[in-house]
Amino acid sequence: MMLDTFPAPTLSFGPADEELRTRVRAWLADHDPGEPPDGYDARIEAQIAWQAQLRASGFVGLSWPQRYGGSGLDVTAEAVLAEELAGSGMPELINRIAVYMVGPTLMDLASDAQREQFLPGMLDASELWCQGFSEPDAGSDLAAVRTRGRIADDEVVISGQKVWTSRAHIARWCACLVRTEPGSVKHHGLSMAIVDMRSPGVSTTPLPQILNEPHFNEVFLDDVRVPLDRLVGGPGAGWKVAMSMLSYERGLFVLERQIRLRRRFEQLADLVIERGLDGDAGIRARMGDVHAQLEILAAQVYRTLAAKRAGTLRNGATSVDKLLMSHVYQDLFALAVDVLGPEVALGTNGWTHDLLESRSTGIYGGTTEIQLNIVARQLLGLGVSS
Amino acid sequence: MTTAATDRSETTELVRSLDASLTAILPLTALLEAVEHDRPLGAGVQEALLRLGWAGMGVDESLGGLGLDAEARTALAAVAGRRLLPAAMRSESVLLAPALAALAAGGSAEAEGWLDGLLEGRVRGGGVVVAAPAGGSQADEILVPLAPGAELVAVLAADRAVVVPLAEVASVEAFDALDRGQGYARVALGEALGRADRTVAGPPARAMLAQWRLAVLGEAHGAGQRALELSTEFAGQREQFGKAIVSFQAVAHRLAAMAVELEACDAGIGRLAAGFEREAATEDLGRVLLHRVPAGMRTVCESAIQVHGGMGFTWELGLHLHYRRVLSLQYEAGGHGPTAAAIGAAYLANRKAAHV
Repeated sequence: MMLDTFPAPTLSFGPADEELRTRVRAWLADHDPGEPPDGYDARIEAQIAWQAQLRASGFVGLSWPQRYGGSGLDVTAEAVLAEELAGSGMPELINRIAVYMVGPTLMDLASDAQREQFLPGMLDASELWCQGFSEPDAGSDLAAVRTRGRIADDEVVISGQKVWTSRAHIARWCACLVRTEPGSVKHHGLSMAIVDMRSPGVSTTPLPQILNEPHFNEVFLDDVRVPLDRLVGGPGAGWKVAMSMLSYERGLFVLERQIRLRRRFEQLADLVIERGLDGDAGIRARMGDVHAQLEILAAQVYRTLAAKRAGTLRNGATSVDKLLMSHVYQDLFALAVDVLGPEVALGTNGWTHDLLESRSTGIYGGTTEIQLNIVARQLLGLGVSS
Repeated sequence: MTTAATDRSETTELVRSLDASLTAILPLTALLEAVEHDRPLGAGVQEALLRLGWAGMGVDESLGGLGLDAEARTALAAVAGRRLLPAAMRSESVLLAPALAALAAGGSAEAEGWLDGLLEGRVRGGGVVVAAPAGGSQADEILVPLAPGAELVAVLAADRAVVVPLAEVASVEAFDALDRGQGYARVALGEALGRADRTVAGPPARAMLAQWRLAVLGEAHGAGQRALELSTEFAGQREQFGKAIVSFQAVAHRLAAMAVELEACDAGIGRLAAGFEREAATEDLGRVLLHRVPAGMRTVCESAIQVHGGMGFTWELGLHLHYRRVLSLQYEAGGHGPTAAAIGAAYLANRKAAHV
């Protein structure tokens, strides 16, 4: 009952975090990679090099245990890094799926051998990861996964198709949700296989987004042979592993994203002032609304991180972060395009780019409707059909 | 104000105990009668409420108060919102009592006497926060909820709070308020604001404003919490088309959206309360929340009525009581009412000033 927990505790930083912040700032001042290079492939290369540099300086895996190559620090240290990277407009970690989602899930649920093999390459981005969850007929209904994993002796032979798989074309490994129990339905009989994307039988085809960028792909799996000991948590644990991974998707990611949104909002405010639009009552109201949303989102993210740190994070709570983030993301860029005039609204530029991109935020990682289902079922405890 | 941090489990115990007490003291029938006839709750109810020691919520222990920290006071304010504690008791505890305590600490025997009376329930009053008009002078007419037999009113504007005996004001007229039964009155202050010996300025006044904000936000949130609880319970029981209406996604999503708004506002208030304790700069967040929380809780209450359908629109169900309270708080939260436009204007002005 909310009565017992209101008002929610928030995250606070200690002297060690502030000392880390000073170090990160000093490092960033000396290592600014400058404007990203032209071209998608060159940008990816630059981002890989950037993460490797950060890793070499000890700034990636701050909250990972030392035995897995991390620094063994509190989650607040990760928050400091995310704040400083985003706040200074530096590139994000290209392998964040691995560092923030797959890695922590492997630490929770994988075997020692799996951890030893897969965790080291995540931090320096020498081995990129992708997430093979969605399929043509399994979008919001993730449990409708059809990709088969036939267990034969000490192997799993995988056949099927994944779709909307971000960066599959450059990933070395894929956390791939497959149905290993013939005849099973819904979330039963699924396993999480770690697929080597260089294996025979794996092929990827770019699936350009509405921005015509080759960010995500279709992945075809044709009798791909995966050693049986690469099923995380063993056969049948797939749904549990997938849910763990998705729960790790929010938190730091949203923290970093809201700071980047805040920077864009500041840029918009400067343009509004520069163009003498700041006296317009309608524009003030919309700016005020988005500003309020950003403040609320920040508070929500720090509350989530505080709960994670205290071990009191409730099931379904991070759906609130996702819903708030996608809402303000979409409102911010709609506002920008509405107020900045035809030069912006009719053009191909950062604002229209981000407006188009903002539509993805209500879809990826569970659509807005799915998040509302999660809130209804898990936070409110209601019986509602999915 | 200085207070030691209140232990969270202690707060939870206090909250539960207060919630149970108010549930018993403030039955729906009594609340509905007060609103229907626009009269205060009965003397017996008033006495029971006074025995709770509510007026001491915002006062240091050394001065006879409860000595609670900001988070604990905010949690208790939410209980007030859930159970619809009379509005005047909010301002007695977070404006009038702290103002009197500050004056008493400064050596005012008059204030000390009033404070003792207030904490013992012999002296009643009210209080209001007004936006300082351009030019800096105080507003001379206020709308304020007054407790039965009120003798004093605290008026807080910007960084200055004044305690005014109602016997010295120009006029007091009853006001037919939306949230009836709360003793709302239109008070013309006349020359009564001029007494320096009854004025609190500087840090204590700013602390009162911060505390007032948390109380208003907590109370609005509490009203929203209760509206959601009633709605989820109802939606689980009410059957249409042969099944509980909660099983329809349209209804479940409406309830989920209410929960999201409550969660988001909870996070904001928690951060503001934590900032209060650390004396962090929370001016901007406070301004944002004064807009967002009452507006959000208004939406929550409106959704609650919608989920209840025709029953939600009835007098006897009482959902309108929380709605009335939140609508009033939406105004009271900022005197002249913080709006998205005001937040946007302040943000743009700060941004402009930073560039200059």
